[in-house]
Amino acid sequence: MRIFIVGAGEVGIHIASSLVLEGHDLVIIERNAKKVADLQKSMDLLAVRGDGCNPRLLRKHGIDSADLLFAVSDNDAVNILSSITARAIGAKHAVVRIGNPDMGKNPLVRKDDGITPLYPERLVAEEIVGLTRVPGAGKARSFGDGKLVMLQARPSISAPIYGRRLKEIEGPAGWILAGIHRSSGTVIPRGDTKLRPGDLLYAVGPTETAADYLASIGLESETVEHVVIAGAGHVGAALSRMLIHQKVRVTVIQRGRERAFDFAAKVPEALVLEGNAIDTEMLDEAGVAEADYFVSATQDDENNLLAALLARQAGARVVVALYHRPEFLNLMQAVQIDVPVSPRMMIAGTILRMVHRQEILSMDLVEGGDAEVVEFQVPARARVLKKSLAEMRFPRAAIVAAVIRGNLSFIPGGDFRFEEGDRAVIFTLAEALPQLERLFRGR
Amino acid sequence: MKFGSVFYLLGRLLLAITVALLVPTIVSYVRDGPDFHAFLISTGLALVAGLALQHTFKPDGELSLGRHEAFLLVAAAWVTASVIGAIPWILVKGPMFTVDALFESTSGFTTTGATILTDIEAETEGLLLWRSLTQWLGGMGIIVLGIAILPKLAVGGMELLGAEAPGPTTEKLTPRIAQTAKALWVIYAGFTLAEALILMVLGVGMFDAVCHAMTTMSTGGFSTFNDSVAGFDNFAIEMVIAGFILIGGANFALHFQWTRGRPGPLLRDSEFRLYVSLLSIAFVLLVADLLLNRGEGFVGAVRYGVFQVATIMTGTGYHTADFDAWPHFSRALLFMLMFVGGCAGSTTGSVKVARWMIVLRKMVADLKRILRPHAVIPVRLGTRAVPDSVVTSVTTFLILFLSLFAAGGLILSLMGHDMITAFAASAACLGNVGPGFGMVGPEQNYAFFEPQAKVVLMSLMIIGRLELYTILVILFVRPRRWLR
Repeated sequence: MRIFIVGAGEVGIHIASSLVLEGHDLVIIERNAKKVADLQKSMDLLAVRGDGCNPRLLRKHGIDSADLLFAVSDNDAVNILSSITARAIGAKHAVVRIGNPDMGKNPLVRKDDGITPLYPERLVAEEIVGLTRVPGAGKARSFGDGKLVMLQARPSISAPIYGRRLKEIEGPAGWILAGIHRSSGTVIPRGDTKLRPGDLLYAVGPTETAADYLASIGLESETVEHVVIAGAGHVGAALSRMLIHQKVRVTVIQRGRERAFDFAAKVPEALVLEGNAIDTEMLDEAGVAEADYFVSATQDDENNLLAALLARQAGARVVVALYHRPEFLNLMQAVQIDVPVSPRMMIAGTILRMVHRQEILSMDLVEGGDAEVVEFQVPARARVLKKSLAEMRFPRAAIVAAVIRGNLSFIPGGDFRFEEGDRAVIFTLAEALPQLERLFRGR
Repeated sequence: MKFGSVFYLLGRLLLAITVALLVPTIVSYVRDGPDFHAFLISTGLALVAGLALQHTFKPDGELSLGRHEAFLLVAAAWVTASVIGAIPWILVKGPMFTVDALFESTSGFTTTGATILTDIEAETEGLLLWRSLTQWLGGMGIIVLGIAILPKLAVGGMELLGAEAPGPTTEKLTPRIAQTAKALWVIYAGFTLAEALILMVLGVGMFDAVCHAMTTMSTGGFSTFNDSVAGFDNFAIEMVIAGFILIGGANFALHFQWTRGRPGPLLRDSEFRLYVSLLSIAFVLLVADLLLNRGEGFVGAVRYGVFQVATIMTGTGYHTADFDAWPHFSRALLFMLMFVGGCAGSTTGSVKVARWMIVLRKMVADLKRILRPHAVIPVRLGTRAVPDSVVTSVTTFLILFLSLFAAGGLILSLMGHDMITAFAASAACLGNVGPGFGMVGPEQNYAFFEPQAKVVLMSLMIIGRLELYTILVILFVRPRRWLR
């Protein structure tokens, strides 16, 4: 594929290095001459110095025959203009990174199906909200506008589920066990599978009955009532809005009178404190001691790390910290920050998935790496449309955990038949991926 | 300081007043009134003075006004209008009537509605029409002042009040304001015409209908009857007038919106909502008091309750009942309503609902901050956060308003008037209400005050009408600078 990348920041370079290895034909446009020279030397790609919005430049390097353009610079305006220009000249698809959600409301971006906006800050916020929505579980990911959720959880040792066949255990209605991760590897559960102590379960079901499911495996879920966020940037703002929407009480700590005031003006439901999050008195005033979650989401990695540590010491139940520089991941894991999150890695990961399989909307790595949760959109005339789930030879190493059809999301039975446009959430062992791809490929 | 452009524009104002004076002149001529010559002379004087100023101070190039000139112009406009408006009275009633004439004229142009006339019905038709017309013109001036000029001068938080208005966005004063003014005047005149027509349909004579329509829309309150609106003694007419009073008390910029098919801004406007809520609460309380403590029948309580609440809160100053004879709670409530006023961008005076809203929310925010000293809690007006500078400015305005009220009351007491009369008169004039309590109650008038007291009250009217700061900035801030 011929792929353009605008902006050789950390995101751009990360994508480029992966794509080059896979043998794609890459053009990367960057304003900084030194970065261009470095790239040209270190990678097998065409690095061009210039403005990503310049139509002459884009044309000269063959944007009209490009399959994809990633506009991933730090500047929203440049990204948007660049993707609109590329599309107008003839690029098949453009992916545009947008920091300020308001900028994504650009009508030219909205009405063009060939432009996919990506909001890194929103992705991060969604990830964190996913965690808080079903506390008690290790990881959670929601589908279909949050109506369905996939939970990763290790059942309590005392739960009455061990040594019995799955079909003999009556779980909560609507829940399906999609995968079991154990030390010997990941298995797809069948009716006669028996659970063992230490198993890590992946289950899918309605978000509203998540507490029932967790109770059935002996875990108590505590509802999240109060979240303290340090930093009112785009991530903090998106996160606050989502949490407030779920009736969670939000306290935000922001430095600087003006920025704190602006944020308080925009998000009236949040309590905004003006001050520094690495000040213990400030954390105390924010009520960190009783907070369920503390999220440090400032631009500054050191600040985030320190604030998270102080919050943990002050008594926050779960601490989440954003980091931007890759070396901070190890550091954060070493000092046991519960959830380190990198916005740049998230956006790069999302983009790479888009290149790998266009029909696949999202993928999550399951612990151990031998299984994946993938989301397929069913294209026209795909093989999977021909027969019902029970009739077709659906790979035994995979299981359809959920189907999203329009506004509906449900867990399919054996007589279920796919329709065009459905989105299937599938838990699969890595070995079944090629088969699935054939089933879900349009012709 | 360019006095030239100020005088030039005052000349233009005088020419406008000349046109207005033609109305009672013509009416007087047609009806063969005894005051025809008085009006003819007044018109002539205004015309000559206007032309002289325009000619003498004709600007060389483009007309430009700085902040200093703008303040001076606004203050001078109301004083000039009041002086010119007094001339017909003096000509008809003699030089002994000078102070009273000025009082009546000032009360007119400031849309206060306080009168020194002891027998209104005995006055000539020409003078009664002129009296109503001064209030109507004053209301017109206030709408433009409140929506287009004061926001620009950032006085007392006015830059924020009524900010949804199609206010001036460009730096140059004239063209945009002229357009805004024209659009608002069409609405103002339209409402006036509508009210006059409805009153005529209900059987009111054309003269009384027009006079009352003009003093209703300007929330002025001059009536052509000694008993004010009670003179009609008609339930339907009272309710129509009360309805138009409430319209006059709302923001004209929002009227502008809904008359163009966009009712959203009015219905969503937080000030308008609070305005309606306050009126409703006051109404319920008043009716309850009248039922319980006065033994008024239900229909009567509602009828008088609605009208008195509307007329006093918006500072119109009509009455349909002698509310000074009402139970203590009703009187106290009406007295407090004098400090509320209507919405910003309306013809009403006093503090105005938006300012109270800001001050009360600031109070709540400060209470919350006691527990969380670092909390940032913006004061909101609707969906917008009010900048701190505006909150401060509004708070100062309120303190200043109350101080002026106290000062006015104290001065009148010093002149030997009883406490209720003194403070009621001070509040009624500063808030541009009109009638008060005690010796200035609805059945009384301001005639008995000595000339000095009348001057004090006239000053309060103008200061209150021009949002305090406009006058005070001229009087107290580095006076020498103004003369440079």
